[in-house]
Amino acid sequence: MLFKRIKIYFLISAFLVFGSSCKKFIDINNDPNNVTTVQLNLLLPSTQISMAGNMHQLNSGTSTIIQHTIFSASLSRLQQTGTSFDDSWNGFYSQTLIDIETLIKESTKQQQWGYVAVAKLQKAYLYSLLVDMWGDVPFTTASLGQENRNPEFISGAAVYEKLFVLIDEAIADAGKVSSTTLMPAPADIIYRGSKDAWLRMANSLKLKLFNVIRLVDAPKATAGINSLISGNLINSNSGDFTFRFGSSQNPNNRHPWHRSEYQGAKTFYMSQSLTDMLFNNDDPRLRYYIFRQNATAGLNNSTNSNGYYGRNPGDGTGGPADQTRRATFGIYPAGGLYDNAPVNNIPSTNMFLTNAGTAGGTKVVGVSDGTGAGIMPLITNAMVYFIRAEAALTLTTRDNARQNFIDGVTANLSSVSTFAAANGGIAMSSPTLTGFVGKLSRQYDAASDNNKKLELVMTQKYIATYGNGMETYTDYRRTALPQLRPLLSPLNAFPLRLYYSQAELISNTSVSSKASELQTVQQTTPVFWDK
Amino acid sequence: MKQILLFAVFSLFTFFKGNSQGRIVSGQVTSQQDGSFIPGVSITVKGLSKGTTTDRQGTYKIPVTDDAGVLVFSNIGYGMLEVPVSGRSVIDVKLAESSATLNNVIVTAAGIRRQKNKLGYAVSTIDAGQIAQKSEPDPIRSLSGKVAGVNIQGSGGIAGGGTNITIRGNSSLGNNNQPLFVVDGVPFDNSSFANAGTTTVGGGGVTNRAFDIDPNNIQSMTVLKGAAAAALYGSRAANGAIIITTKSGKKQSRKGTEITYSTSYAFEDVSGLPEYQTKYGQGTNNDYRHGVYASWGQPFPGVQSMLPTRETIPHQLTRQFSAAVFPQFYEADGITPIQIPYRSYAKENVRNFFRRGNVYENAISISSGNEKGNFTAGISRTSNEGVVPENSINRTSINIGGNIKLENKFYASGAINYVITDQKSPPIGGNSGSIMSALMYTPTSFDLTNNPYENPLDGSNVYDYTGLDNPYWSVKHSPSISNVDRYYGNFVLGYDPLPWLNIQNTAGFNAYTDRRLNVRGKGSSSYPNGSITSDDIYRQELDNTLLVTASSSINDDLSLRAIIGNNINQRLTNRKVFYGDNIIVAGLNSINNTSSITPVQLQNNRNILKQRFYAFFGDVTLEYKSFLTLNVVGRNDISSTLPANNRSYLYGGVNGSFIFTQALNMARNVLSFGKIRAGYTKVGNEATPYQTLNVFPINNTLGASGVAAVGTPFTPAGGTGTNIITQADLLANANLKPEFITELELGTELQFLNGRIGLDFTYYNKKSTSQIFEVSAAPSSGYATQILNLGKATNQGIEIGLNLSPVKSNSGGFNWDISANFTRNRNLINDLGGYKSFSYGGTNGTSSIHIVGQPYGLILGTAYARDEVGNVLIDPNTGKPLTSGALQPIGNPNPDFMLGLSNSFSYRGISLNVLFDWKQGGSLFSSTIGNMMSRGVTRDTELREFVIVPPGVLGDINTLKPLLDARGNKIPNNVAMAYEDHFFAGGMGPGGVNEGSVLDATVLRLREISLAYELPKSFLKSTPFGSASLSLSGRNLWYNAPNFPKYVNFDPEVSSLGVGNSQGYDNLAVPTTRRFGVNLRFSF
Repeated sequence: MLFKRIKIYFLISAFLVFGSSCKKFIDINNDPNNVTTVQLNLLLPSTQISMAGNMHQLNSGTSTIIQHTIFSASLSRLQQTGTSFDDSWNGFYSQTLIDIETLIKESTKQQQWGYVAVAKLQKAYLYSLLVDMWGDVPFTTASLGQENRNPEFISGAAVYEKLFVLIDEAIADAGKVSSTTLMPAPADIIYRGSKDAWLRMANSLKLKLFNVIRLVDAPKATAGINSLISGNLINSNSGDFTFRFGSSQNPNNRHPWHRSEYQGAKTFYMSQSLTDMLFNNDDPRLRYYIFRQNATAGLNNSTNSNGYYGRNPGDGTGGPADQTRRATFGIYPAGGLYDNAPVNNIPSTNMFLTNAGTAGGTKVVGVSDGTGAGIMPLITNAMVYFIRAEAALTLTTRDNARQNFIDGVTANLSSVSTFAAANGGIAMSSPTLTGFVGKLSRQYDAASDNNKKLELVMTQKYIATYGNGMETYTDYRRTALPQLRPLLSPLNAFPLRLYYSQAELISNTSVSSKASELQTVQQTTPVFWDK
Repeated sequence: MKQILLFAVFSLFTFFKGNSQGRIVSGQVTSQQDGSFIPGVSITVKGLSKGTTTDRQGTYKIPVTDDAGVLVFSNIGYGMLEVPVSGRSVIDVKLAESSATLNNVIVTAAGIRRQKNKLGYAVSTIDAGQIAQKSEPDPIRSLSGKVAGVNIQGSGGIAGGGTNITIRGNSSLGNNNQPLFVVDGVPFDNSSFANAGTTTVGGGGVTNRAFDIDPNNIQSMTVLKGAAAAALYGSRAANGAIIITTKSGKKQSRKGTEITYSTSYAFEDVSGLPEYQTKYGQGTNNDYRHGVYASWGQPFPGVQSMLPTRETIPHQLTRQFSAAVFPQFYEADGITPIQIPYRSYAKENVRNFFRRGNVYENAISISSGNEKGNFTAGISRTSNEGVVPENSINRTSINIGGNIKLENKFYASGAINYVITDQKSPPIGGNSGSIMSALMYTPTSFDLTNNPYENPLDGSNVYDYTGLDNPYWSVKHSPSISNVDRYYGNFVLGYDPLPWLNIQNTAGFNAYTDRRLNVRGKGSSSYPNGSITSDDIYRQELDNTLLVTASSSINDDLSLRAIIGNNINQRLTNRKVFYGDNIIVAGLNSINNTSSITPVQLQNNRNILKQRFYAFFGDVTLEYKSFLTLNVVGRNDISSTLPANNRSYLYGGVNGSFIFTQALNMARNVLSFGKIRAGYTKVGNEATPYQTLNVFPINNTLGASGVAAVGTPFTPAGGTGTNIITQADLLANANLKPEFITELELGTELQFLNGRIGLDFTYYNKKSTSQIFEVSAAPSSGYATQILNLGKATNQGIEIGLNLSPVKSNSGGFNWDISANFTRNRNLINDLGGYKSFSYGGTNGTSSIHIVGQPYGLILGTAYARDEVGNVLIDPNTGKPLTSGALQPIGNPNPDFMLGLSNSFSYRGISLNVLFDWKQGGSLFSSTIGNMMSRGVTRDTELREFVIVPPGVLGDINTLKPLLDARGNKIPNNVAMAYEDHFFAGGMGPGGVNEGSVLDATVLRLREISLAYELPKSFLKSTPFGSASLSLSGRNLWYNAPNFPKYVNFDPEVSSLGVGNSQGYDNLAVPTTRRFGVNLRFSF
């Protein structure tokens, strides 16, 4: 009996011994897969890639609304839903902005002012985009995680005010860095750490924002622009604030338009209105922007339209099985193919869009056609000139509208040409380039008044900004230019703001109770700068 | 806590000390039928109320004072036996099973054996005969319709497809709701890992790992439905538990040697295909069109119609393939396509694609034993070739087990199992490589059967649908392969130091590797380069349970059993996924046959998951005069998944039963047995690992999904590769607390007319509080999902089991037994901590959503815009319905009730069993039906040469309010549209707005028929066999889903998302199958 009692005590003491090692045994909830501390040089590129990656849906959707392309039939007919732009909204906030905030916090703590500056500039750019697209957005209480799970939406005007301050802060932060680089080159995909490039981007962004608010605050816009035009703006194509995709397929670094269209299944139709605009104006960029898979298939699979098989905006009919026949994205900006096949019905009077020197034919595109290393132009050298031209025509800025118009077109043409040459396409001959610029400048000079000149400026900016639907969507709402083609069967009025993400409306209790009302008025409520 | 346990241990020991007295009679009680030991037999000295019960080896010791006394042996389910002591000190007895059997001893939590009639909660036991040899290789599906309270949802006709099982509804808002599987005392992982990376198999095609249990090796299955039953398993049994005892793991010894061989063969066919229309061919707008995947084209020659017809069409494949590829489809000039007859292939296209599958099972098991111990071993092989070509699953399992009673009061047992499960699946799941993407709506005039599917030049896909692969091509070139090696077993060591004390330790392991390969074939039209994803999943679970059991009589009327225990558990998942891009040589399925390989990150890069817990528990049962039982259970868990200050949590419950027929000594001629039971239990539940800390994954894919997903490291044009880190999408919660489920259960068991009628009724009310769940976060907070720790949901329901024996005769006469079970569960989301709703899961633009005041997991999607009285608003421009501004709940996937009805007839050696079940209600969002309707392929849309004006009122497209006429009245829809447009995208029919594809999934089903013949012993005398039986079985022989379109013949028992909390989705699932089998069983 005693023996047995001992055994029991032994058992109990075993329990106790076990108990003392319990804490170690159970303390295993630290994620072995991921890091918990931040390295600035790894976090910055993440914000740049995710901003570009998350832009695809927004860019394609707004490009559809302003007839650059046709991404979805319902958006082409101006009907939005809560999932039309949710990927971009969700991604900007949950990937890009949270990383930018972390970057600002950590780099400020470490007094790495170069990172602080770049993070703040990216934040300012992205938030200005959010306001332009959606109007009122979460800003002050956004990206706080646990501290605020339901950020409040604040007015776009208030956000813009804070962005001007933020940009100035960033410029000051960059000023604290004495070197010519803000960070090691590999950490910055966009400018390789160049301080000069980022300062030019900062000023160009300010220029853009001042111009955007010109309808509601002309004095501020004028003063702001005047203070910038003699300063450090983006002034070369190599200084473009542009995201450059890569050609790697695995991991896939390619431009989403290339990925989407250079395969069997296709999502897009090329916009017949853009195609015709270029075709009818003898514009050499047509061969760069649009690639034909079939030289005879025309509009809606007919044999019309000179062999450019696109769709008219607002066409609600179902798509036939035409993936091997429709025209698709060309070499610029998607990194596809340069269309070097003869084009039907080119007028003999054409000087720039001609069949001279064409070689080869059309082809059904596949994944190995083109490099896929396309670009996402955000603020380009050309855009800066066009903004200055617009401001000069509409405000009393100290700027020469005509020169800026010419510089803008030239910058864009050479940018397209250089990009194409670097990606297996053909550069624009310099007679074509200068000749076409000359033609446009004569059109400019022939324009009877500032309104006509502005139409030319905005039309050229519209063409030059192909690949960035957001900028053009904002321009169109401010200027109602260029003239867009009437829709075949619209389902709604032209949207003045975009629909919010369904996920945000459901999950954010500060708006979830009025989600439906909030959503439906987006279509008809102008953004604060829109009058 | 530890102090309390210690105190409890000491008090128990002092309590029992010195309780024996007088002369001791001992012995062993065995079954007269099979010689197995019978534990729990009550033994009393006649005339005294003093008594004892047999232990797990069937042995007992009882003090007697009088050599002339008589011992009374009784046990529910067995006859009563009186044995005079006559001066003996060892009395072994054999008890015969009584006919009015009440399923006596069952295994409850932690291997504790209890008499069913004394339990304070509902359990259901299924024995081998109800599971094995039913032409069903999936042990979970074999439970369908057999147990009240259990909802089983298969995912369609893929061999080895996932099976979702829930007991008493979904309790956890976000965590696992599958019950815990326990095999021979050790938890058995039933995970279903979705494919990672570029997936070609949707959730429905992925096997859940309970499939690794061979039904042939199951001795019995006990379903512990409620929290009360499962309290001792803690956290993981909060959703109920399914306790499986395998043949090798069974504890009771059996004398003699038995060899059993069983074999069965079944063939399977698709259980239902639509009735296709055969009057109109490919095209739209009554016009023949190449390449269009709709059948709204011209009528075929000979069809009575007002539309023009045509005799021939150019060969369809000439649309995309030149004469260089298919010269035979061109005239001699190599340019002009040949003309082929314009006719319908609708009757054979889909039917010919599916093949006749089969299930072939062979199992041999031996068992041999004596009083001291026994040994069992078995090997079995099941192969199931599915109805989809190339789809198969094979399972080979080997098990060895044994137990032994040692001289020195020790006993030991052990079992080890090794299972190899190999599955090969076609790509399913609705994406572009899926075989089901277009199969069910192949254009009626396209000859899918005879047209080539491989490009003769390079083997690439040939189809008339750009961007989609021909299903014949997919099954050949894009397989998904899973090879599972699973090993599990246990070692039990027990010690009986004192007659009233037992100490037992069970150490168990359960691990598997699942090596998967998902191939997207080279030449696929979705991705011509092809790709191979390799996915190695290692999962390991270690578990140790120590039990100290003390049992004895306190006085003549009162006996007590107390158990204290300790449980330690570790679970580990380690997964390595690699994506290989660009297959170099077609047809060789190895990741080294790709030109570049990159690692694939899982959600938040959670490739390794490790969690542990340890727990102390106690279980005290007091029994008064064997009619009143009170059971108190307590458990304290310490889980690694919770933050340090919240990781220890205590819970428990109390339950009791009262056999009033016995207590009140009621006359037994009408009500022969009556019991009421009640229980109230709280169970805690832990979190999943790593939800308490925000992290930064390295080289995550950035950007949105699909073409916008940018892989990293990122190499810009002309630049060098850049590595990145990014904050994980998941907003962690540093203050996680355990979630709790509290359940009240009330029930009664009644038997009338000496067991001819039996009724078991249960009511339960289950509340889940402070739920831990991952839901969508407001993206502007910086995260895509967040871990919340709030909310309340309830499940209330009733379960009724009814057994009838309308005809009963003894020994080989005609017997008829009816067994019915009814389940009705109502769940309700009561509170989401201030939030109105949370969405998760879903497919095809829909998601599942929890909404306060609504049932669990509704289907959220686009709905018709309606006026205040429910009229659909119609767009005056198009005649099509307007879509509501925000997404809305459009369906409730939870069934209203379920009914299973089983009729068994037996006469001499022949028995017939017919199982019928009925699932009422529950919505299904069916993209299969939506597509078939909008593509005009079934007879439902055959009558079509007219225009219709759909019901509704005209609405304003911007305000979504009804338009009013001059007098302020609503304007009934007056816009006519072609019948085709009514169904086509955006139309009123299924295929348009999501709401139109939501259907009531009520289904009646003849689940199972088996006809068995036991060969008479006399017949076998001259053979080596001891017994032999032959049976025929059929599964899913008939079903009717009355609320589906008439001609789609669709079986709603599909679930495209497979196992999980997002249910009610059919995203082009593979249709279910019907099986006929023949089974043979011999024992030597």
